[in-house]
Amino acid sequence: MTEPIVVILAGVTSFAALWIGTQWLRLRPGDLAAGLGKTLECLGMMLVFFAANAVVGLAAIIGGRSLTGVFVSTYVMSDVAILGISFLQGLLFFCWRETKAGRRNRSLRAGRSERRAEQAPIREGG
Amino acid sequence: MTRRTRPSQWIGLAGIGLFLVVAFSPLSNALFRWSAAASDIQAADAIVVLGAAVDPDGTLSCESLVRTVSAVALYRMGRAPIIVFSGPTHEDGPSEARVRADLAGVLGVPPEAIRTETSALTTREEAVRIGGILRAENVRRILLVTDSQHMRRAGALFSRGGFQVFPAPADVRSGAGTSPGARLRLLRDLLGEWMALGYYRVAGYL
Repeated sequence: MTEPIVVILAGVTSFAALWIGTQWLRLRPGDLAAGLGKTLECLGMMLVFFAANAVVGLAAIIGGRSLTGVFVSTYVMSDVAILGISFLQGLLFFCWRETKAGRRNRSLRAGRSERRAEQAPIREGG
Repeated sequence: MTRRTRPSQWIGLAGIGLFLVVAFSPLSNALFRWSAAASDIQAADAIVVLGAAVDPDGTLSCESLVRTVSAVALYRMGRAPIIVFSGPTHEDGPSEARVRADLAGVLGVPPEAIRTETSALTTREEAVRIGGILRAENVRRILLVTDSQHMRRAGALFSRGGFQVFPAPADVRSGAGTSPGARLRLLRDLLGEWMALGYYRVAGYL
């Protein structure tokens, strides 16, 4: 019984978001594919952080036990908070990288505009 | 997707695929049933109840409670004359073993039938320390009470310690999870236990 509710819920809110995006925010449906690519990239980074946290955490717990004698249960690593933290780390890293890419695109566009502005009087003169 | 797919996008795609398969298919239920230890309840010399968790205020975790009640039921069915409860002390709170022993007392198990082990922190330590208690009482055949996934690792350790082990699984989860959340939790638990099993094998404990 849970599955149909989850699927219907996701369908309704996704459709509502599509409608709001196209009608109110004037987003192009064709850009959804690019959005999906970005989503996958962001999710991929989240999972990389999750794997890194799991490996480093387990190594630290097991290594710490043998080196210091302090016992920490490995079951700590199954805490759902680690998944949430990993997702936040992945999201932040993704946004950080996107900020750099956005800045580079802006400076490229600015450079092109400047070149066009410089070339305009030459063409007029020629 | 962009023209050149980045590795992180492939990882993301794999993550979404795995999530959908686990949440909306019976895969984790099938894996659970495949790797679960079968019950083999027979007359034994002792019932050994492995630790799970207790909160500092003395509240037993679901796992701990289910194992305790299962062990008391086995005792009351006359399967063994002794129950050994395991479970360490949590910070300043009571030990899990003590809380379980008190509960067993309330449920009608006499104090002389109860033993507790409050210092073991891992399954391997439980096998070593409880093994010592049992050998002192000439116990050879044990009914081991833990969850059906943990049973393979725990049973192997006790067998290695010279005991004849009869599994008496006590689960809080079943291989019949009906919601996406239940199936995701099931897979998380399975992966955790498989990793622990792998670690014990690599470390030479099994």
